[in-house]
Amino acid sequence: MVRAGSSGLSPSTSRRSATPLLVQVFIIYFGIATLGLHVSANLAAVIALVINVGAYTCEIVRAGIESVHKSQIEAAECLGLSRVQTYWHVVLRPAIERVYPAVTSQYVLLMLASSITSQISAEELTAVANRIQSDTFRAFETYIVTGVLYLLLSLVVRICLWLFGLAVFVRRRKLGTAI
Amino acid sequence: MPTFSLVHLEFLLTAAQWTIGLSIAAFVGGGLVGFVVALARISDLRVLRIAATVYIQLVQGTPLLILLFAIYFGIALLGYTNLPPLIAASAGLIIYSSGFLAEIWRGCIDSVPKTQWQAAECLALTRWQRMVKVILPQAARIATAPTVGFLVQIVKNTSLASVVGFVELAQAGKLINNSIYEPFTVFMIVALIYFAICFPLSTWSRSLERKLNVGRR
Repeated sequence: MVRAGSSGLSPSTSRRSATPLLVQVFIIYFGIATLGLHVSANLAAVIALVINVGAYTCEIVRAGIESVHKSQIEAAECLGLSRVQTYWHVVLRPAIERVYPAVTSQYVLLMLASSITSQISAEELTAVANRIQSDTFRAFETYIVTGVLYLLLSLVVRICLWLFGLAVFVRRRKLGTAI
Repeated sequence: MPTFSLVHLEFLLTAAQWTIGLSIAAFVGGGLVGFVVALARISDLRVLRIAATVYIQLVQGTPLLILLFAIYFGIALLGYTNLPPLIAASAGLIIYSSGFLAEIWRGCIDSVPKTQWQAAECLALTRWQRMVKVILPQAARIATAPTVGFLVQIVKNTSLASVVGFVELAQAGKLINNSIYEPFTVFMIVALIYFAICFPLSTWSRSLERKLNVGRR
């Protein structure tokens, strides 16, 4: 049995893209503008984040699928499951269950990375903090409060995803494996 | 209207050197701090363990951007108003990478099989000997691939140092774009340079992973 948390899920495999999110955001925001389309900063930010987190989640799930043992698939074949059944019940669901913790941390990182989109003046927490800072000149206080807000947010995201995991992965809960 | 020329490319390449320099500073500094935090995280003293956990959670729970702002303006608040952006940027990146490296390395130390700890104890090694001669060499083997992988993360995150006015690759791209307004060309080249730095690193990490074959023990 391959353990969850083995090579497939290590940080090196789960975080693989070779350009910074900041540059991706710039390319999408300014790139779409040069194509002659007018997109709001918020929409461009969402597109960039979707592409970014999509790539990461894809890598994580791939690692999960690869970690399903060959013998499991052979066993499914012996039981006479169809290809679709095998794929759904034996490969995909256990794979997603196994990588769910990695996906969770990726989503928390995504939430934190959304702060980067303030650089193209998308309206989010950091952008608002920047505005307050330039209004009041109380930079340190502003960013400390913002930092605390982000901490709370990441806690909330974690708890929500954990509850979601409890609700969705019933089998795993029965087996008593931690999510 | 000027277009993208060799001068701009030269400027970008100079800025790329700063990106690399900043990455090295962040990795070395973050590695030192992170190692200490990782050891504190598994220490027998409850206080140390809790302190290290809180530190890691704090660093991992706030965006690097906010960390950089807080440090930059926080140090100015202490009276050092003419702080070079380089110091603020490296301080922020060191704190950031120490938080993540500590957690990665803690995981690696934990994944050394329990029997190895017990065997070291049976041989009557002291705590220090057990750590240095038995656990750490094995943990280092496991840690190599994820650490190189995280190095890629650091290189990419140096792009955020631009917010405190440090001219590295992303900031240089922004400056050039402001003067010639060819966003697609400029940022594509910036992205290519990042790719040229990061891709060899992640390929290296992948081959290390395969070579050491950590996953299948």
